[in-house]
Formats: sequence, structure tokens, C-alpha cells
Amino acid sequence: MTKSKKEKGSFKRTFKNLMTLVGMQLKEKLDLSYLGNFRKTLFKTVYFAIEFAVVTVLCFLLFYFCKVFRVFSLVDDFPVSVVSIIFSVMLFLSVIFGTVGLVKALYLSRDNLVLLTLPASSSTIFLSKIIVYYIYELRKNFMFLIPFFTGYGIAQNFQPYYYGWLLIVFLFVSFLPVLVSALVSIPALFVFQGLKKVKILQYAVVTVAISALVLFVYYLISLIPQNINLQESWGTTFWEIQDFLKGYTNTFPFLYALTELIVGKRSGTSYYIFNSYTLPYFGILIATIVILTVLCFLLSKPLFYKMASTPFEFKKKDNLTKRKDKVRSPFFSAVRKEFLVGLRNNDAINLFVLLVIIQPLAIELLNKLYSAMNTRFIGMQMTIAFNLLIVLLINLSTNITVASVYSRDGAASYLNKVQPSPYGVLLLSKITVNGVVALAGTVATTVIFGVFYNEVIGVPSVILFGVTVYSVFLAHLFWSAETDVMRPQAEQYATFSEQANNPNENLSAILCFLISFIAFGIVMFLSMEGTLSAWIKISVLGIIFAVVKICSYFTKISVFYKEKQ
Amino acid sequence: MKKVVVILIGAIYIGSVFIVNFFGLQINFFSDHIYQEKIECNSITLFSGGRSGDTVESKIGDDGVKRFSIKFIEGEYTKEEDSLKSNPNTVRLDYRVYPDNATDKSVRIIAEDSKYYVVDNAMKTITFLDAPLGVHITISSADGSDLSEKIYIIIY
Repeated sequence: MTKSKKEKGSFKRTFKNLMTLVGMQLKEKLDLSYLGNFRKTLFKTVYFAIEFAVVTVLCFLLFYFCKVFRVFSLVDDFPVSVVSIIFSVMLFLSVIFGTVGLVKALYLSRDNLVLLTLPASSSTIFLSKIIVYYIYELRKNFMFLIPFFTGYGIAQNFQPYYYGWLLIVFLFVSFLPVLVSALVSIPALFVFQGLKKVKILQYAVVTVAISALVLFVYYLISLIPQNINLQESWGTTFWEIQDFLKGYTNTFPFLYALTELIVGKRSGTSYYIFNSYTLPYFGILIATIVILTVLCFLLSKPLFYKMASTPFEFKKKDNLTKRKDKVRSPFFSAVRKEFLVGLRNNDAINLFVLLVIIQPLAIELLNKLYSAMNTRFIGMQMTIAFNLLIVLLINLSTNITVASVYSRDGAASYLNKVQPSPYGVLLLSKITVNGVVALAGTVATTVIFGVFYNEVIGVPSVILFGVTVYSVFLAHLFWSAETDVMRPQAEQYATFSEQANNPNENLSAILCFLISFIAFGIVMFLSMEGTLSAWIKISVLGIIFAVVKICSYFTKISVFYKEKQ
Repeated sequence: MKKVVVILIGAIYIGSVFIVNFFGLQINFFSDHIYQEKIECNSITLFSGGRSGDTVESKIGDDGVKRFSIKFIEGEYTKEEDSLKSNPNTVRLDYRVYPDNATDKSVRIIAEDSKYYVVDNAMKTITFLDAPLGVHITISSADGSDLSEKIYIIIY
């Protein structure tokens, strides 16, 4: 066989291996079982189309009203610079979240050990992981960025070929955050492992970050004008926005050019996608992707192979210190263990920082903004209702990970069933830390809320505000945990460290927004009657909701838990 | 926390400030008609091919009138709608009306009729068809306050 034929055969085999690996990982991580059933496929397709259409319509309405009210331009236009800012923020968030996800998926995933035993080179395996992440990124772009640009195109009356170009260009643009995240994941891994090993350093970093955040918030508060009335001061505000947009285009020309590559370049009063200005940028985009890919292979791949072939569970150096055994109740022992695990993997610290520090700061900043507005009665009620909405959203969003709290044990999840303690006690211990931290956060936030509103609604109503928040939080906490009991995903976590599309977490996220908005609506509705009676009713509803979900949780554990896989 | 959840909470946080500001403020029942007191035009924005969005600042001429100089991009241009749309020699007047809370901020652009340029009062733009050229433009208030700002645009 000639050399060229051998090379061709080798390339075909490598490509086939790559496709098999990608297919394997996608099949495990995405639920593609509906593909075998025509009805399910049709349902999924229609559901996707509706989701796409809803986001497109919402984005179109946003652009349309901004054009009609001349928010960003003196004429009937929506400047590309605003689109570019939103696009850049989304790219930045994709890089941040992608880095965190790729650190786990590339270097710390349990399936690496299995994949390395397959008849494929480490390069092929590495590339398959990047491609799987790229497919996730593309799917996420179909959920927001592509409908966003589609809505923009409709609002600006772009030509039909713009929509085809949009799909083509996003096939390339979706590579950028994935490849940048793969490169950034290298220092991120070392930082992550360094902080994990040296706890004092970790606490120092967290302390410095929190101090910087507090200073930043107080700086923002100092910038708030005495009277915020956008309608009256629009003349000045409009030009300040224009200055900001101009500053952005001068500071980030690459991101602005990337946006112009997607939407086209303005010439006169029309936009042109393909011209001598934009096409070179397409070449630059391709070149950037190629360079980033080469850098990934040169830098990230060797680290991936080293980490993937090192079984980290067994290579730890344990510093065991002998302590006197203390007898504790099964519940307290389990809670203590969960607390220590939470400290070690930083979940407890992250939760504490979010609920006890970030949440009160966010509420203080928000209420400082509201205080600068001369509101009438309905405006005051709106500010109180929005306080409740935002506090609930932040609190309840921390319960999304609770929807996989039992499944995350993976293969060890069965251990809860063999311990000589009631199931409820052991399962409750896993969510106790969340409940305690949230209580501290609710108290801190209620105190901040009370500083602004105790003269408006009275101290008893402020206390009932806190009671409402905590009771709704508990209801959602137990509801999320219950979904994980009833639909365990332990098999997924046994194979992979992460599950990108956990149905329980998705349900918990939807409930988070639904419950928060229902509570917001109830507060607005009841605020028309007396303040204290309204808050008594709201808090009683919250307590009843919590009691119902707690009873449901324990009932389902006692009836179903033993049989669940 | 999921990225979508963070974005949505952030959007609701910022949106709540705007919603309260638009729907929750005290209503002013007595509103006096506030006339325009001054019109100022210190810059114009170009839509020239390849450098869209460039701003040209004014220079004060010997006669005290603000002057703007821009380079003409050669080509065959007519007053047809399609030609006007694709003509890169379009400038937008970046005027500002004082005070900021003037009741009626509308203005008119007045220029001599010419076959060498087209004025669009709705978009506040002027499209040039030929060069070299010098155009006297008057931005006049339309709320009855009888104010105006005169500028001179040189296209070379």
C-alpha cells in the first residue's frame, strides 16, 4: 500500500473515531431518545420552534420600542454599538461559564479514564470533548443569540439573505468562546487546585474579593444622583449614552467589527453584509479560530492528557490528625459531614457569599436607586414588590443545584439506603446547610430592607417580609430536593462529573421564576388594602406553601425512596 | 448557577429600576410650556463608506459661523431614492436643544434648494451629490421660539 493511501486510510479511521466519540458523549449527555419516535421528535421540534419564536418576538419588540422612542438614536434606528455591547457581554459570560465547565469536563471528569482506554489517540479524545462543548455552545446560541440577531434583522428590515448568513457566521462565532475557555481553563485549573490545596490562600482571596465588591457597591451608590427622573433628564442622559457608546466602539474595535461582520456595515441609510470592509473580518475570524485551535492543541491538550490519566481520587496525600471520637446523633453527624464537604468543595462558601453578602448589597444598591426617585403610592408598592421579587429570585436560584443534590453522589448514592438511620434524616441533612445559610442571608437582607421601609410599612410588616421570603425559600428547597428523590439522575453523575441538561435542575429553575413572579403579583394585588393585613396574608400563604412541600417531601421519601434506582 | 438564570435575574434587577421610574413617579399636574432657549450644533456624523460613525467637530470661521469640512467620496449620484440610500456622502446634524426639559424640541433644517444636495428633515441628514461645495444650513426651532443655529458645511 502506498504512503498516500495509508495516510488517507489513517485519516478516515481517525475521523470515524472522532465522530464515534462525539456521538457517544452526546448520547450520554443529551437525551436523544426522542429521535427514534416520530411523535416525540415532532413535539421537540415544535417546542424548539415556539421557544425560538418567542425569544425572537421579545427581542424584536425591544428593538422596535427603542427605535420608536428614540432611546439610542436621534433617528429611527437602533445603533450597532448597542447590539455589540449586548453580544460582547454574552460572549464574556460564555467564556466565564465555559471556563468553569471545561475545567471540570476536560481535566476532572470521571469519564476521562474510560475514554482513554478506547482505541483512539489522546488528541482525538481531546478534540471530541471540545467538539461536544462546541455543540452545547451552538445549542445555547440557538436559544438566545441567534433569535436576538433575528429580531434585530426584522426590526431593521434586513434582506432575507441576512438570516442565512446569520446561521453560517454563528457556526464560526460559536468556536470563539469554547476555544478561549479551553485556553483560559489552564490557569483556571492551577488556580482552582492551588486554592483547594492552600485553604488560607482561598480564604484570603475570598476576603479580598468580598472587600472589593463592597467597595465597588459603595462607589456605585455614591454615583447615584439625588433625583432620578429619566423623562425629565433625558436630554442629558441621551448624550451620556452616546458618549458611552462611542467610547465602547473605540475601546473594543475587534468586538465591534465582529458585530458588524454579523449585521453588516452601514453605508448611507442601508446595511451591507458583504463588502470590502466586512469580508476581511471574516478572514480574520477564521484565522483567529485556527490560531486558537493550534494553541489549544499545544497548551491544553498535554495538560488534559496528564490530568485525564491521573486518577486523582487515590493520589491524595492525606494529613490525618487523630481526634477523640465524639458521639453525635445520626442527623448532626450527617449535617457536620455535609458542612465539611461543602467547605472543601467551596459550595458552602459560595452559598454564604451569595446569600449573606452579595444579596444584601444588591438590595441596598437597589433601594438607594429607588430612594432617589420621587414615587407616588403605586410606585412605593412597586418598589416593595420588586424587593420581594429580586430577593426571592436570588434565594430560590440557589436551590437549582439542590435539584441534583442526591444524584451528585453518583455511584455512592445507594449508601443512603444502607445506613442504619431513617432515610428522611440522612436526606434532610444534605439540604440543611442550604437552609441555615439562607436563614442568615434572609435575616441580613430583611435588616437592610427594614432600614429603607420600616417607616413606610412598619416593623411588623418588615418582619413578615422576612418570614415570607424564608418560607417560600423552604418550599422551593424541599420541592427541588423532592424532584431529585423522585427522578434520580445518579447514573449520569456516576459517569460524568457534570450533567449539562439535568431535567430536575431545569424544572427547579422554571419554578424559581414562576414562584417569584406569583409572589410579586400577590404582593402588588394585596398592597391596595392595608399594609399589615396584606403582609399577614402573604406570610400565611408562604408558611402554608412551605408546610405542604415539606410534608410532601417526607411522604414521598417514606413511600418511594427505597424503590428508586 | 446557570448562565441563563444569572442573565435573567440581572435583566429583571435593571428592568425594575426602569419600570418604577416610568410608572411609579409622582405625576406633575401643572405643566407649563417650556420653550426652547438655545439650539447648538457642535458636530456632524458621517456615513462615509468605510468609516461610518465618524464625527466631525466644528471650527469657528472668521464670521463666527461654525464650519465643518468633509471629504467627498467620488461616484455617480442622483436624487433617486436608491441612489440616495447608497450614497456614502451623507451627514447627520448632531444638534442639541436647550433646556433639556423643553416641551417641544422639534427643529427644521433650512437650506437653499440645490441640485447638488438633498436635505431630509425627518432624519436630519444632508446627502451630497457633487463637490466641491459649500452649503449654508440653518437649524430653526419649530416650537414658536424663533431660534436658530447657522452652520456652514464645506465638502471638498
